[in-house]
Amino acid sequence: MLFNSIEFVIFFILVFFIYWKLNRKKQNIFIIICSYIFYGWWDWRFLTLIFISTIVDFFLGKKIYQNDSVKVRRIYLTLSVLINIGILGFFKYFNFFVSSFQEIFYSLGVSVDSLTTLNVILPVGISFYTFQTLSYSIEIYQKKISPTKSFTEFMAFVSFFPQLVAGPIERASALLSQFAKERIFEIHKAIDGCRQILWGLFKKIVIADTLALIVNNVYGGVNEASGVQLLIATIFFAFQIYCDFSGYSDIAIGTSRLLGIKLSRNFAYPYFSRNIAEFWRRWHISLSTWFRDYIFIPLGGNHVSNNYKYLFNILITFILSGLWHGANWTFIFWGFLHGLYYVPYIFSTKSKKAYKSLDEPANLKNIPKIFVTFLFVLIGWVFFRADSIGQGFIIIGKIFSDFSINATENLHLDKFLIIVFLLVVEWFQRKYSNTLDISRFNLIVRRIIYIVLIILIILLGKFNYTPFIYFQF
Amino acid sequence: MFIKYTKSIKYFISKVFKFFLPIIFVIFIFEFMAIYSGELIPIEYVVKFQNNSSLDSYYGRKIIDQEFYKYKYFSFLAKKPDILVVGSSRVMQIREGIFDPYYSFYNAGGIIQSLSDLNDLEILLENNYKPKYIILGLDIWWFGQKAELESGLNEGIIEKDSAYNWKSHLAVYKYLIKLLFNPNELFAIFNNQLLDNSLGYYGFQALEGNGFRNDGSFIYENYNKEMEVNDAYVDRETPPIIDRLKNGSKQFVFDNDFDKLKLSILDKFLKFCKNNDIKVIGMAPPFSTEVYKELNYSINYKNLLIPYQEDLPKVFSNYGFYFFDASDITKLGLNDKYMYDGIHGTETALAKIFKIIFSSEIIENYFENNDLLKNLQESIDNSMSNYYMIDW
Repeated sequence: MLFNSIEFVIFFILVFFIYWKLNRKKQNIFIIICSYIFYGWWDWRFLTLIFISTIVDFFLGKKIYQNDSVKVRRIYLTLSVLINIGILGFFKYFNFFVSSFQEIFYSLGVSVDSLTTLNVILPVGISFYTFQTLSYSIEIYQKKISPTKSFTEFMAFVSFFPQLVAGPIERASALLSQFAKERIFEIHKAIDGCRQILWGLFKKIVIADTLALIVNNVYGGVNEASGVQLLIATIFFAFQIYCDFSGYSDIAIGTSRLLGIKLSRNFAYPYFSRNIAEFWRRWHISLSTWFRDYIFIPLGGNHVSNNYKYLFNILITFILSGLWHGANWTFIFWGFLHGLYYVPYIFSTKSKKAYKSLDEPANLKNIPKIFVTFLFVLIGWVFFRADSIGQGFIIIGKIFSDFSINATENLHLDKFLIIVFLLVVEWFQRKYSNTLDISRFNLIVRRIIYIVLIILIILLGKFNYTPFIYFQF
Repeated sequence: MFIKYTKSIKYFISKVFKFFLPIIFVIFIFEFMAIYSGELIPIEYVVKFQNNSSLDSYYGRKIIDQEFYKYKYFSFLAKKPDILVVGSSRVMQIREGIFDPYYSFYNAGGIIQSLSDLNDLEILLENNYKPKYIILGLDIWWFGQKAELESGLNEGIIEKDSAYNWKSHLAVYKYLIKLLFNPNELFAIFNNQLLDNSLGYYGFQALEGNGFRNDGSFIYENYNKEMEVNDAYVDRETPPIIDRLKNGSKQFVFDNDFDKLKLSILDKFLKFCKNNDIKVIGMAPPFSTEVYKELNYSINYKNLLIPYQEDLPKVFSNYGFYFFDASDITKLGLNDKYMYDGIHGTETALAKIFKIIFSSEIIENYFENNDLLKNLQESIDNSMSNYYMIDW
């Protein structure tokens, strides 16, 4: 079930009306039922994977907590990691590793025909809920939280439908505790949630899905496309993926708010970042912090003996982050590239300045820095979107060498206008976590804004039910 | 089991409801206009109306899917005609008047887009109603080696009518919103529906004057208006047919040799008709003179045209069926002003072609009524008839 579908609208209206008629315990059971229906809408067979993941971490979480011996605790944590990553690895990476091994051995002249790929379907959102359940075991191991006694609360935490398939990846400390408490309906939060849903739908239906048509067309025929076309398509992809994913997050956060649940912020105007480090504090925040807390810091983080070790930790973190996105060398290279972008900060004495706080939004003087950062991010997106690393380099080569503009070439100025509209709105709202936080305006202005957005969605929206890009991750 | 909603929930629900109430009202108005335009009337109702009503009507959706196969096939089933016309859009100008009042008639022109559609049609006829006569228009490009055998007929019939899809409704609202910025056009379109009580219009294309009549034939009102003012030949297709031929684009592909194997599909269909007592009249629809010349003299197409003209009559005659080649209009005493474009003749062109067909000796054995020719001649000779329209 897609957020941008009529099925979901009907589903959610029903959920809302029934949910607030129930007491806390029944609300949790109801959320589990709804979440399983929501997920089963794609493929009910994969509900077993969520259930397995839930049971494993629920019981292993208890075991980790009950044992004082660090060695035993580590064994249980390892078991949790192996089972969760094992399931993820099998469904997501098995074929990738087999074909990669085959290619390596073939290049060495060794035949490995006995190794065969499998016809495996990738379960939607497996990377998201796997990381979420893993965080539970890890946080218990780190003694940050104690395990829950309620299986229903834990099930609701793992399967909570607004963020089940594409995040934000919530920590047990933040989300699980909310299922243990009475939920109170607060009207201003509910209205704020509605605004966030509206803005999310606008970004997804009007911007992302419109740009997707051009991006898919140009990237589907790289050899025929000119450098200018590829540059336009890459810029469009940058905004497509941003509007697609942040749009999903907005809808997820908004719908959760209507159910009295607060989800964490996942995007904080990333294209207004002044450097790459800031970009990663603003882009897919829930995943970035996951990798920071559970990979980068345990590796030693930046508190290491020398800058090379620091760089190594950064590269490992980003490569794994790239791999998380998909079983393809392009994602790994994309992660590696972003790791390399850190080199100037690592070896600079002013590196700490790179880590801007989210409360310190950019100003007009920062525009040159924002522009340069965006260019680096853009180069990364080329490899993220390309079919292979080789194709990525071909695209980069064309962009930097083929400046010819055909008289009949469509420069898609109307699409750029939509992007400018997005950027202007975001710039003026950059101090607010919800872009459509317009509570400071009077009622008439607010209503006009809502109506204009609804009309724009109807007039300019693409209602072809394009799945959200991050579902595949 | 249930608890009561808190005051804040009730307040929130009422606030949301009040916000959406005017929006719902506006949607209701658009829905009314969309239905009134006929664009969103489901095919089954259009078929029912066109079949039962004595009023003339046009069916022509513009924004949502025409559901062409479904519309034509179910209209055919509803009418159960003696004579069924099948082929591409090139036979859509064959009118009921040619056979009226002696035979019931339905033009399902457009229902065959490739030879493999004949296989689908055979199955559909086998399982349902069978007409007494089939007039089968055969396009030259269906017989090329490079012609793909894609069949859309069966799938098109099964497909759910897009009028039932909410996205179609939204698309029509979008169109209506655009029309609101051009009130003259909006009024002109709805003017027909409001003032003309003798006609029913189903869809925006129909309201603009172009659509399928009750007999299944198609009216090109905008072309007719142009022809009324100026009778000079203009190829109104985009891109023009002659350009397609010269560039090898769309249905015309270079070096597309005649594929004898494709004749076997036609042969199978004719055999089926023969076995089921359905008499078939085959027809090669007309080309404009420039298009026919290009087909005849271009090295890219001559391997297609010659066997097309020589082999098709033989296949028909094997079953005792008649085939008429109208490719070269100059041989029929017609000229380019009888053509809408390079491949579509006007209804007068088609009527005159049938006049020749009715004059043929073989056809005497086909139809029980010999007044067809006389009747048709009268219509053609009618002072109100001209080179693009017959006053039936």
